[in-house]
Amino acid sequence: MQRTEILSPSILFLYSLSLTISAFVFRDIRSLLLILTVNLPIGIIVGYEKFKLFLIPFLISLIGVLINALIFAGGTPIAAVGQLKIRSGAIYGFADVSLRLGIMLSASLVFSSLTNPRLLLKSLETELWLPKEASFMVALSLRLLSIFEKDIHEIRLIRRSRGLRETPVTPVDWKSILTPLFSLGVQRGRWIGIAAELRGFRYRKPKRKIIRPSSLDLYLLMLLLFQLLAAYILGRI
Amino acid sequence: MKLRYTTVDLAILAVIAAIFGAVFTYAWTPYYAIKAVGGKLAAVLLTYGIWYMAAPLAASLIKNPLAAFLGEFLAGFVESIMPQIGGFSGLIYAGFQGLFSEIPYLATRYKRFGRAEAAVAGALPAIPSIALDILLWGSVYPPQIFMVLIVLAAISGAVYGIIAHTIAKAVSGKT
Repeated sequence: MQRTEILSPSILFLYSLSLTISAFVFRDIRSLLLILTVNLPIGIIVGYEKFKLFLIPFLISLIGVLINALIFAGGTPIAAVGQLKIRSGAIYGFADVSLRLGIMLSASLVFSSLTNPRLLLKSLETELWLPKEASFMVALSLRLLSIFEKDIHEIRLIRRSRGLRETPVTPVDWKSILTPLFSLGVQRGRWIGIAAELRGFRYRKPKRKIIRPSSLDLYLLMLLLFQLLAAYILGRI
Repeated sequence: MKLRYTTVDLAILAVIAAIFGAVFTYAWTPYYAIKAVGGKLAAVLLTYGIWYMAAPLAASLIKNPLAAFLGEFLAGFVESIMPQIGGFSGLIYAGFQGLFSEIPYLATRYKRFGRAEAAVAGALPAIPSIALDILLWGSVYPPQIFMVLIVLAAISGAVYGIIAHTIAKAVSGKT
């Protein structure tokens, strides 16, 4: 049996969303450390094979955090490397932000490894009773995404052949990329909308069912509840 | 003021979400390039408005209540459910940014969808966006930096808001 059949995509979505919110909400470094300690190993176990390339941008972002912390963070100087004074705030700031980013990475690894956008969408509509209009928009967006990615690539090639900047820097560059994209996109959208209407979208009744969590779903929810509660208590001590 | 969306409106919102889903991912390259050359402040001024642009564009094209919110939120949702390292932070940012973008249109009771409203709808998301940045990065940057960032992000948002309105006008004229 596939993993995706065991865990409900809606439950995984709620789990990963809650983890991301916790990265913003908890102020105590011990709370953040607890959540990261629980979730990063899970994320790496389930997602390393498929998403090991995520580690490269993550490590680059950590280097960015470190540089920013060394430059901007305050506190008392605790060491010096040449001209650069390392302040206590830099160590704390680096640890604090790295833990937050690590929790977000864990949320991504857990979610992206165990489900995919299409399964999530189906699950959100049937189990969490997402309105059919919303699921139509998201499903259509996902379908169109790769088309627009190709369009962006083609526009970049054309810009390069005309001797323009391939990577947009100024708002005017962005305007010259977005105008043709939307010119094509709105036409597509109009005809897709008309076609959907002609095929009776308005009268389509979405399938609904009461969510029946599997035992794994329940374990995941309990794990979420436990760690959030423990992190909250740690933050209060 | 009617909250009535036709299927064509929904499809156009989906197009906006798809385009910005792709653009948001792509925009990190220029953001980091500018940051490497000109520093964070230049990067915020030149690029932050891109992430606020979906809302004024959606409102200028669809001219319906909640269009700004839906445009921004959907784009953030699409960006979030694609595999990337930020978890669902894009969705959280987009939700708050979309709500703030809705304010200028709500203030006119959804009667005006002009250039000025688009500029304000582009500028206001700087408030929740930097507030969320403070929650994430507050231990690294001092408060003065955030004050500068909020001003630069608002200016950037206003410029891109006007561009969004211009694009919507150009595209509506053609169809």
